[in-house]
Amino acid sequence: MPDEPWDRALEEALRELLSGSPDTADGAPAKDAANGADTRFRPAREAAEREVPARADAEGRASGALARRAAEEGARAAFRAARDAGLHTSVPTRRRDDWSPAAAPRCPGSALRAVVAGLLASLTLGGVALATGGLSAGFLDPPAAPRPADSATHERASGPAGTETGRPGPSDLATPFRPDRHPVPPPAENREALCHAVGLGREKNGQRGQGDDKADRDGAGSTQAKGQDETLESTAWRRLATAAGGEERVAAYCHREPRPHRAVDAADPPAPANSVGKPKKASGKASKGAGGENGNRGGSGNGGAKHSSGGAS
Amino acid sequence: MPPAAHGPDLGSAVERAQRGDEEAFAEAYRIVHPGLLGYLRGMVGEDAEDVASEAWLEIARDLGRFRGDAAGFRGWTATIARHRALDHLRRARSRPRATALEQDVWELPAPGDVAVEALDALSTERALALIAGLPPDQAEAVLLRVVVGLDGATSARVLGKRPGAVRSAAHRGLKRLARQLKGKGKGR
Repeated sequence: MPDEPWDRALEEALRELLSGSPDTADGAPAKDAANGADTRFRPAREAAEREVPARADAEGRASGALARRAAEEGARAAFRAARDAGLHTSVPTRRRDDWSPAAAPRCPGSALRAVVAGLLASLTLGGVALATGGLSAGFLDPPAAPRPADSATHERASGPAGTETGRPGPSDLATPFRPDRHPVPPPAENREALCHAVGLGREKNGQRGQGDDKADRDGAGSTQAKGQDETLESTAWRRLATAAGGEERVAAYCHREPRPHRAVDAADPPAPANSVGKPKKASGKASKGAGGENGNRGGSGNGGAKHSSGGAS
Repeated sequence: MPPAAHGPDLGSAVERAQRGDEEAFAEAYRIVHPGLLGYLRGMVGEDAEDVASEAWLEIARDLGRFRGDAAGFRGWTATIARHRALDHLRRARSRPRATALEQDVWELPAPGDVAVEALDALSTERALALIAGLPPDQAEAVLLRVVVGLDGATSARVLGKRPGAVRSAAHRGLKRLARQLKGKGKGR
């Protein structure tokens, strides 16, 4: 950005014009640069230095050259005086005289800014760590809960969810929650929607007693949903019973007790097989009953996931 | 970064001068002085020579204090010149670069609509007046970069500002100059 072509060309032109010596490094002799503050005077100046100018205007330019020589002579005299007075050896180097690359501060206040930036960064990272800690507490719970449901509808579950099911909770706790994010919602939605629709959701959440605000919201949502549509409830109950593998298993199914379900799965393979197609439809319908609640939940889940991944990067 | 104009011998000339070699000091003077003078012209106009003389007295006196390479020497001398110029301006209570000269710049027949061509037609004084017509921070940044040949970091230290601020000031200054020159070239 700072070096567009015209910019550089203009800069070169300006430098040549103003300093009279484009670049000493480009081969222009230092002698030339020394006198060349004004380009217009250069030819006359050289003439003036060779011979006494005869013409009047050349004389004026020569006086300019003489003035420059006088200025240089003045600097030389000052140099000699200081040197002979021992000033060049006895005086200490002040901070403002030290321009060595190592010692020179690149810019004033940079150290202070570095400190402030470091503090800000640590605060930010600390905030992120806190946030992700809080999120993971909220996030790792639902995945742990849906898993049994997942196992109940095992055959229906897609590949990733299937791989999730066998894994124990603790190892998942250590992993980032991103892998859990995608496979989890469908079964959770199915089961929770169904449970909420028949009024077991609130009970379930109450029993779970996690005390996080999501659970509170779930409870509120289910109450609302329950009151909203009674006719859906009977349909939902049937679907739920099918999904759970029997009416007597519904409670356990909604209370997310993994072992009974695994036992059920093992003991009664046909039941999950029956449930293959139905939970999907049920979830579609039941989510109408508990629609607001599910929508909220999904929204918060996604939002949280975004936050967490953003914080991690 | 602007010029690699810190000639290979400026550093050694300074070193030899610090050991008492007067010819080496004169060599360093001849290398550095034109840029300083151009900078001072932009700062204080016609009094540049006087201010430069004051600056060189101080440079010659404090040469033993200096530590650094060629680029550092340019920065160090520019800082001294700047302080002398600011003192001078404080005494004079104004920027001597009046608008009269600046107006004069626009009277020039511009040879083309390219900024560089327009610039070629300017005299040194008028070009300096043009730069001096910029906002002060831009003018100084342009002068230090273009005329004295300092890089961004060194300019920043001379001005006591952040390198980014100085770079962008120089950039804006050059852009503005180009726009003015182009505009005038087209207009007349």
